[in-house]
Amino acid sequence: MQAISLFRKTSHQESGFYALFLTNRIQMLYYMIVMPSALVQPYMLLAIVAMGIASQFCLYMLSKWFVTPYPAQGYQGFERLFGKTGIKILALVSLPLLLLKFSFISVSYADIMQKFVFPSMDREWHIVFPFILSCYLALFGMENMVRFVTVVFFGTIWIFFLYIPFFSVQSNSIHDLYPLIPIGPEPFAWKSLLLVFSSLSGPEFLIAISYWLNPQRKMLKYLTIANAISVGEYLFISIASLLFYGSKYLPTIKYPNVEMGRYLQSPIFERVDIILISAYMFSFLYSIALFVLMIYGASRLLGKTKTSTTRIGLIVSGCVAMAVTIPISKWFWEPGLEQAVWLDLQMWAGSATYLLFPLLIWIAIKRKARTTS
Amino acid sequence: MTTISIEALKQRLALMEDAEVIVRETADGLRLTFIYLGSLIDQERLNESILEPLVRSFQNSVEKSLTTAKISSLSNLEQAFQYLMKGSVLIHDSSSGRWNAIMLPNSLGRSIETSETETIMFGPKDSFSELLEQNILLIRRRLPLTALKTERFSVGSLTQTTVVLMYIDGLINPEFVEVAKSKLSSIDFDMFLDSSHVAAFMEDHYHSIFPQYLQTDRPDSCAYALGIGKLVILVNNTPFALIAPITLFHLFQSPEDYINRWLVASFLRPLRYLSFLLSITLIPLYVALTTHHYQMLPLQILYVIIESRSKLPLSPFWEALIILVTLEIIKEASLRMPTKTSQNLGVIGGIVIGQAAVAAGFASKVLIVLAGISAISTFLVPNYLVTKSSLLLQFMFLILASYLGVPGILLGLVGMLAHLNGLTSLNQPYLAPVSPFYWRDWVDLFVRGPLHAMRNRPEALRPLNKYRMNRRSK
Repeated sequence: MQAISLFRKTSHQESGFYALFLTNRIQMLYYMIVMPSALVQPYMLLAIVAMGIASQFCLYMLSKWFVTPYPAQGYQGFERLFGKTGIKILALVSLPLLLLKFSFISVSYADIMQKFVFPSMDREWHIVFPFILSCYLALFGMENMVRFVTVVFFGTIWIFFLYIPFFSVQSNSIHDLYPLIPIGPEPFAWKSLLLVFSSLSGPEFLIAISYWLNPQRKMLKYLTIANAISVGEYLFISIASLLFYGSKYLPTIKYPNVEMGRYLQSPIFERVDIILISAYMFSFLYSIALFVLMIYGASRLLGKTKTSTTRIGLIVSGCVAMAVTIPISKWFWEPGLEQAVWLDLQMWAGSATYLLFPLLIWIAIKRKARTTS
Repeated sequence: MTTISIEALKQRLALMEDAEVIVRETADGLRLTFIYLGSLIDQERLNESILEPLVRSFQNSVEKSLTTAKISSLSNLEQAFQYLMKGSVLIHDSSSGRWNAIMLPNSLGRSIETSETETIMFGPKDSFSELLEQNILLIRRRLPLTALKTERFSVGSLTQTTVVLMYIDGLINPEFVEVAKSKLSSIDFDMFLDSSHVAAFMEDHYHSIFPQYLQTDRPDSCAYALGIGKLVILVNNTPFALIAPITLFHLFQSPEDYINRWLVASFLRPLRYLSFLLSITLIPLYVALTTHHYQMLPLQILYVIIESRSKLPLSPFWEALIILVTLEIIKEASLRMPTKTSQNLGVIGGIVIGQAAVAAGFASKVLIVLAGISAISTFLVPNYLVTKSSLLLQFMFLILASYLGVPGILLGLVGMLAHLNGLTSLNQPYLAPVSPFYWRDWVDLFVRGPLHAMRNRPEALRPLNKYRMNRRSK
């Protein structure tokens, strides 16, 4: 029987596609969940484009990391760049952020699931069942997880095409897309900017799994394509929802994307939203499995890194994440509070990590280059 | 090492009524003892090619008398028994005291027939038989190459089954050959009566319900597999060869895919994937919709289902479970029964399921229709082992659907894909070329592209020679 090694690497297949798929799916993770009552005016489409450009800047910094020899060296690469203490500090900072991301996604998705699919079932069960499966997924190890993103990408990208019919609804009016430029100072516009930027966040976590991505020199190309696809999808869905609901009615709906699924009709099924939400689980499960592995990896960095990985260790890490998530869902996810506190918290945390992590890595690479030369 | 003696041989061959010990004297006065098992050797060839030339010979040794026969010299008793049990005649020369063996195996066996498990309308009709040498011949005829290597192994302490590993040297990734050799060498078990037994010991994940070696009795499939950089394992006394490494997608490919026009084949292949999906999810979907998501059904369909289910005493889950189990009982019985009786069983089964179950109020008409579609769908998958695996999957999805509805089915699908992603065949990923991603191989994946577009051998197999066409002719 082969010893379990969750973080082993056997394949050296050079492919930028994994980075492309990962970036795109992680960027699409939030937008579907939290899209948002904050992005309700037509001129906010420009916010998507602006934040797409800002996201491209972060990805540019990230690509600088991929062209260095450090990612291919795994832990040693990080050690050379930050030193042992530096790695521990980074792991310590990352852990609460990962836990927050994990909890926020889990509870948000469970909330949608409860509201639209299974109102009779407690929200906590909607967290527990996918969590069990995501642990199973994570048990196959990081290498398998990274390449599984292809299945996830092709298993969920079709959802996007289901929104095409919303462009041909008879009641659509082009006037719903005006004004494209805001008239007068708009209150809280910064919040929508921040929301889009935080939705686009996530690729910074590729730093942690870069060892398994077998990065190559053209990584920026793949990251750019992924970012462009994400921005395209954001715009597409936003325009569809603006056309369908109109900018006056849109702010009154909590989950416009999901609600739109209810209006899709087929000769065999009604309430296509149930299928859409369930299919979206693919992306969601994958992300939480990836985060469980990252949480386990980060906790190992804080403890003993030389001991071999175990299934129990991974499951315990997952249970710790659950121990944070379940109480949040049970006691701290009250109507109103979720928008006011958790969404704000996630917005700030997501934006901060997306901006600061690549920047930190970039500065560290520059500093290292200067000291070695 | 025990030295060979007639007494020792006779002692071991006691109570074997087909064991023969005969003594003949040559024209030159040489006294020869022949020991063999009558059931294992070709008696006619023994008389014509061995006994008669030897008795009439004036030479003073067996080698000089039988210049055309392949004679092996024996040195110890165990070696003598190995030869004896594989269909050799042992010859003892009393003057020199030397022991020789000549292979004269009985070639009794089936003739080359049409495959019954992988039938195709057009294309080659021959299939493997139980004779190993004949099976090698059928492949060698198709690939007349000196690079086509055959390596022999013996497995099974009781059966001592000969296993032949075939590959094209200089084309196949040498890693596959090394892994296969090491797996074959490390097999430790007593009996191997079929290639599936060998596969069970070579599989990387023997708990999985998905086969990790493709079993086929078609020589053309084996030749094609060898030609694209895979290896073939032939096992003596079984018509089924093993092909490795394989992926999930190979289980959905039929030899006819490459005979049909590419557009037709490209239509049929996705249909197989769809039917596999239908076979495992159609009835669970019915259970999910009727138990948890009535709102997903359009009003007209809802009327039909409500009318159909209105007098049923069972919940959708139990209704589906009973029908599925009954269906499986009938399917299994029809396999075990004589051909003529099984036809009757089909008719009786059809009446019992189709009419009596509905009339008795055990099942709704809608479910009967869906069960029929689901059962037929399983037969579209060319691989029989996958058909059987889909049965277990269907029950698993049924349980998930009854408790968690549509999300339960999706959970099951994600779990299944995660499991498949973790599988390997000969240490190679089972979901390639999707995961890991090799986009160039997609030309022969969900669709079957034109042969002209298949310029390269599958990238996922990492063959040493990746081009299928002469690069100058491009």
